[in-house]
Amino acid sequence: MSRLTALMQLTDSALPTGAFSHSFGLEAYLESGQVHDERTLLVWLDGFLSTQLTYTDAVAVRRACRSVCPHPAEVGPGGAEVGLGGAEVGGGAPDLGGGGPDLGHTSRDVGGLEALDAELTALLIPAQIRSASLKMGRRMLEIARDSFPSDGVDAYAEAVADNRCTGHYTIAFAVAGAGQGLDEETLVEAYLYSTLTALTYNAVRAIPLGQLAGQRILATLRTKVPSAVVRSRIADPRHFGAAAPALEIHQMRHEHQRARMFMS
Amino acid sequence: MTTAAGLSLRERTTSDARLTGELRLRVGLRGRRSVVVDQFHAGALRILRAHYPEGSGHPTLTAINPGGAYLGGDEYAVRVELERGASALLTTQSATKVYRTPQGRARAVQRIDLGPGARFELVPDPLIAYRGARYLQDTEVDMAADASIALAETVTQGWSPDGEPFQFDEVSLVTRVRIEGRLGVVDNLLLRPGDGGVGPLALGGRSHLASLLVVDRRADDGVLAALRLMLAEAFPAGHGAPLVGVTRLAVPGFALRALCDSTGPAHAVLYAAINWLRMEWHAEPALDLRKL
Repeated sequence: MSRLTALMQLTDSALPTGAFSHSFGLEAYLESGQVHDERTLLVWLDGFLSTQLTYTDAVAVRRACRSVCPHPAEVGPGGAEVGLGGAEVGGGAPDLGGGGPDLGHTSRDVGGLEALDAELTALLIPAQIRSASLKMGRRMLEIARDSFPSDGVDAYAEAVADNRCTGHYTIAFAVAGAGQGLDEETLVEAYLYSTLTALTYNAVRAIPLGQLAGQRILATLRTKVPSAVVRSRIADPRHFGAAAPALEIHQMRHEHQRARMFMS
Repeated sequence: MTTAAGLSLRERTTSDARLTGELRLRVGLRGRRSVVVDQFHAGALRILRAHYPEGSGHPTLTAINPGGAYLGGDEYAVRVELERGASALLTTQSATKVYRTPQGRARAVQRIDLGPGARFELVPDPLIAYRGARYLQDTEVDMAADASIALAETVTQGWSPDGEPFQFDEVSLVTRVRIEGRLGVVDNLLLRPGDGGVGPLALGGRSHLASLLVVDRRADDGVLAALRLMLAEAFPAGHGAPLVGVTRLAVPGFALRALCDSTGPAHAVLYAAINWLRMEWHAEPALDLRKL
C-alpha cells in the first residue's frame, strides 16, 4: 500500500467533500471589498491559516490522530520529515497504521473521538462554520468507508450513525488518513495545504483571478504551512478553538449576506 | 446543579490563602423576590448591597475591587449559585484594569451554577489590559435546561507610553457552558497583539471587542432574526460603525460579537441586545446600571 498515493487521493481538490461550496467567511470579505485581488487574498488566506486553521482545525486533526493511533509517530526536530519518510524507514510497518485490529484501543479511543466531536460542536460558534464542518465531515466519512476503510473509520462512522458523534470534517479526515498509515505531522500539513488549495480555487472563481495568480498564491502559502504545523503542535491546549473575532463576525454576517455563491 | 470540587458554599467560610480576592454568592427565591441567601467575600473583592430597580424582584448585585486593578500573579475567584427560580444580575463598579504582569499572569475563575428556571445576567464594565499584561479568565457555567444566562464582555487596550495601541501580551477568555452536565458551548476569545492578534482577521483595526453569549430555550430562529433586524437598524453599517455579528449556537442560544472604536458604541451594542431581550422575554425596562 502506498501512503503517498493514499495521501494524494485524500487531499485531491476533486475529492467530492463539497469543499468547493464553502468559503469559511471569505465571501463576506469579498462582498465588503476587503479582499479583491491577488495581494489581499494572500493576506486573508495567511490570516486564516494562522488563526482558525492553526488553533482549531490543525489541533483537532492532531487530537483525532492521537485518539486512533495507539503509538503516535515520534516527532523529532525534523518534524514533518518523519511523515512520508516514515514509510521508507519503517518499511510500511503496519503498526504505524491507526486502524490496527487492537480492539482494546479501538473501544477506548472512540471515547476520545466522542469528546473531541462534542467539543468541536460546542466551540465552532458561527452556525455556518459548524454546519460546513458537519456537511463535509459526513461526506468525508461516506467516502472513507468505501475508499479508505479502516477500523477507525468504521468506529467514527458508527458513532455518527448512533448519534454519539455529529461527524466533523477534521476528525473524519484525520481518521481516514491515520487508517492509511499516515502520521500526525503529515496529516496536519496535508490538511492545512489542501484546505488552502480549495479556498484559493474558490476565490480564483469568485473574485475572479487568473489561474497563474492562484498558483503564485499557493506557492507562497506552501512556505507558510510548515510554521503553522509547528505552531499547532506547540499550541497551549487552552487555546484550542480560539477564534479571530473579526473573522468570526464576517462568518456570522455571511448568514444573511444577500448574493451568495458559497454556503459558508 | 453541580458543585465545584465538592466544595459547598455553606461549608467553606474561610478564604483560600492563594487567592487575591474571592467572592461567593448564593441567590434564592423568597416569595417573588430573589435575595442573596448566603455570601462570602475575602481579600480584594467585595459586594455591594443588592439593588432592586423600580421595585422589581430581580436584584442587581455589584462587585467591587477596592484594590482597583489586577496585577501579576493575582488570582481571583467568583462563585455564583442561583437556586431554583432565582434571578440576578451581576455587574462591576468600574472597569477591570490589568496592569503589567511581570510576576506571571493575572487570572480569574468564575463559576456559575444555575438551578431550574434560574436566570442570570453578567454585565461587567470593560476589561482594560495595559502594556505587558497577561490575563486569563475562565468562566464555567453549569445550568439546568430551562435556566437562562447572558454573559457580556468588553475588552480593550490600555494606554501605552509610546502611544501604540494593543501592547498587552495576552487576554484569554474561555467560557464553557454545560447544560444538564453536557457540554453546550465553548467560547474561546484570545487576543495576542504580538502574535498577529490584531491583524485584519483578529480585530480588523478596531480597538474594542464586545461579546454577548446567551443560552436560553427561547432563543430560536425567530428571536435571532428579530434581534438581527433591530441591531441592523440601530447600528447601520458604515465607516466607523460597529461591526456586528450574531449567530445561533449548537444549543438554544446565540453569540453576538461587535468590533468598535471606543467604549461607547461597544456598550451601546451590548445594551441594545440585552435590553431587547429584557423587554421581549421579561417585559422589563432597560438596564439602569447606576454606578453607586
